[in-house]
Amino acid sequence: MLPIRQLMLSGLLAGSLVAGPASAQTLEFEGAWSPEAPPTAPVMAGYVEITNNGDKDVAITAARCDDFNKVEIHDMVERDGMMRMIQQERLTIPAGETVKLEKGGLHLMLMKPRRAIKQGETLDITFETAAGESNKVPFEVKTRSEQEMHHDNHQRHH
Amino acid sequence: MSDTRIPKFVSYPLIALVAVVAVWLGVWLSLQNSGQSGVPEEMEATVLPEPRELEPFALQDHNGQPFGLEQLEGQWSFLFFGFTNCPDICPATLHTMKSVWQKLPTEPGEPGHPKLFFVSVDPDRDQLDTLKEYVHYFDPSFVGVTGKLDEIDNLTGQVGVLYGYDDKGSDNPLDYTVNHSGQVLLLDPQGRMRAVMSPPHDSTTLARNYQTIINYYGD
Repeated sequence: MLPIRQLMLSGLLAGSLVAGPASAQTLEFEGAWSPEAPPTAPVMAGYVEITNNGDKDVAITAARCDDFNKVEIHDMVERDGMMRMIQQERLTIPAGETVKLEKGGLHLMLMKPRRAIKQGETLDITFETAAGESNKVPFEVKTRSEQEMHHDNHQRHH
Repeated sequence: MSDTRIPKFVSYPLIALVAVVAVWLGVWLSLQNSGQSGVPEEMEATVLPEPRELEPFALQDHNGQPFGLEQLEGQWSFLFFGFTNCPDICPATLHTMKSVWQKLPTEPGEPGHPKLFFVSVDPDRDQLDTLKEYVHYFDPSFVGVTGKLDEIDNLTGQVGVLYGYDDKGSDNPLDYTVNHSGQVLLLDPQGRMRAVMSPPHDSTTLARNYQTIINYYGD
């Protein structure tokens, strides 16, 4: 539980530093990135940590990106010996908590890219909430190696 | 009356101790005498108690060449089953395998270096050239494999890999997802299945387990 709490705290802290308390968004998106995919891959993934700074649960009901035909939120679960992707019609971020979209678990599935997408680019992905709010989040396209190196350095600095 | 019991209390632990030592000695001696039997300890992988021989199967590699038992012989092989429309576990596992390659003392193509075969269980969508470009993105030594469904079933059935399609038959016939086992399999240079490694995959663990297994069984 401790790492999650720490992440939550650092999320809150970063939020107040960047946005200022007056204009703080209910949802805070951190570390958004998308692994570059092989050129023939018709799908990509998106990973991000979403923190709910508010005192009410927030449900994300849709995600979209101009560079893809469709964006879905999926969960990867292992059931009956198989890895299964289960589409999530809504993703609830409980009040005061952080939900991680990460490798081997919840993730964004970016389907049918409308153009070739390369390392170094940014994908703007918009999340819609049940309350009608929308959050536009820049996802950095990186290779998995690049992300691992960044992650390792990040760990070392703490 | 109690003095007749005292020797018994002393002797039982002694007998037990002798028995335990004898068993340990026996196990130790049997391991010394036959380095090929048993399984290495301290593994995150499941090593099969006996290598599993495979029956012939007929698939194609990404160059259209036959892929069967013969292609598994002569080097250790990693097998992973998936599909290229997979956003998360397939690319992540292939990336992990690339990192395993970087942790091994040999280079791809050198004697003693293993091979990685990515078997697509989605032959309807994964054409050979698509597969080739897909696996080469991760490492030019990786080999994509697919074929007819009954031959895929022949192989998956023998190695205990499961897969299935969801939403096939919806409005768009090409819009479906594939559920599949996430295990990485390790086969020996005789093409026999030796070990199963379960997700989540980590390159350090995979590389260490592989080294332990090949050191234990030899090349």
